[in-house]
Amino acid sequence: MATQSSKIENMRNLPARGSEKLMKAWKARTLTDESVREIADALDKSPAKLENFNIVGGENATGIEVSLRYDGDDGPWCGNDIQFWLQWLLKHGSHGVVVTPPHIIINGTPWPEVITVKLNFGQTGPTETGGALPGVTGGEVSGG
Amino acid sequence: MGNISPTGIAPVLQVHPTRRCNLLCDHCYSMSGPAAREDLPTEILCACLGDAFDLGYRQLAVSGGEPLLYKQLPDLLTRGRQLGMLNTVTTNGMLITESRWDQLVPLVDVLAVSIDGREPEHDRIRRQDGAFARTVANLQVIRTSGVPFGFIFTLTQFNVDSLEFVVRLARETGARSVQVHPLTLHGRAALTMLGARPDGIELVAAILEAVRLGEELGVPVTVDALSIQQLLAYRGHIVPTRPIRRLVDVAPVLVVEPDGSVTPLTHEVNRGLKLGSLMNARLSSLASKWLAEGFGDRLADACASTWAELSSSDSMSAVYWFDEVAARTN
Repeated sequence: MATQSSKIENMRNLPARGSEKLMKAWKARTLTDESVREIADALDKSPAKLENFNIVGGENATGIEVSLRYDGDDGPWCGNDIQFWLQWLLKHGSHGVVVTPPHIIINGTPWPEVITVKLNFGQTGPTETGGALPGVTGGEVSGG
Repeated sequence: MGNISPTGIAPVLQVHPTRRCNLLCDHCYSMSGPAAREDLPTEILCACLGDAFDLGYRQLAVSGGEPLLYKQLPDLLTRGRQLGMLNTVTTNGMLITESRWDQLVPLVDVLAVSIDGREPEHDRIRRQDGAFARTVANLQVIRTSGVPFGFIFTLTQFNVDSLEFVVRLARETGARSVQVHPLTLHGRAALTMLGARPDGIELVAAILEAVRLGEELGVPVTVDALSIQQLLAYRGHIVPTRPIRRLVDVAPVLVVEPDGSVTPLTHEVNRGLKLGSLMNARLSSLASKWLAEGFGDRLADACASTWAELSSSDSMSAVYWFDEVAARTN
């Protein structure tokens, strides 16, 4: 007959429910207040104009997309904002997503007049678990 | 209920012509495997198809065992095609080579391929390393043929979090839909997967995930489960009205097993409610006798009492209807 302690041990050894793992994954992808505040503070400090700001996931936000515009002499500051983006990722993790590099458009050579930088924080696209599949690239199945 | 089942599709004749299988899966609802040799003679099955069509069944769903190991599968599907039935085949996908598939292409309306999660999960439940890779590689053969195909995902207590992976795989490989089928503890699964049957919470999670993934990825995802709201709203569709005069009214799904036994709804229905065996009589005779002896009404009563019990339960959130009915026939 199973003792109380062995019953507890058996319960501990049970695999987690699928719904619990699902919930955990969702919570891990939800942005914290602190992480959002850090983004807001960094944007306040930046001379860039906020061209676009999109919160992904509604009330339980999982990601933020920002598009920043640097005019004339403000151009070099974009390096500071990209550095902040990298530090933010290091501090808060990649939230289970495939990290996409900043999208940078430079208008004007050799002296840039306008620089546009698009940055993604957190999950704004597919998750790692649902991303590229082994043996499947570009909708084609490899192997035979 | 006419010729429409609770799932909104034509009544289904589910045929398991063989217990032969290249795999020995943990979640198998029969005792199929490489050592099994049980096959149903094609003549008996073809006669059964004709009778089933006359009784109102319009979809032939062939499974197994692995149906591709049933040598007379083309004959069986040809008969279904002659009758004008919708031919569907469920396979583990590992044996779909071009030469084998070519002869089936004109006979299959929809192919369902079993995918049970990410590669390690799929291979573990199928007890076969490399099973996932082989199946996924073979999807190219199916896709090239132009035959519509979808995935079937067996939902357990522990794997709803893998559904997203399967739906994304469907999108990337051209599968048109994903069907989520709750694990039933029948056959080998009753021995190897105790405690893994999904409860109401997991079924609800699957329903919610199905909606989310369907909207997000554009792949239709259906779950073989009813929420409490659906149960309450659709009593007229799922509880047949007595007296039962037609088999399809109480058994929108009819299961033919490799030993010839015919069971209404699902494998798990009490043996006492089986129609009998095709080895002893034709389906038309079995059906007439079964109805005349009042078994249709008994099954309808089981549906009614199942509905009454579930609809008054406080804790119930979602159910696999056929399983619930089957449990109340025992």
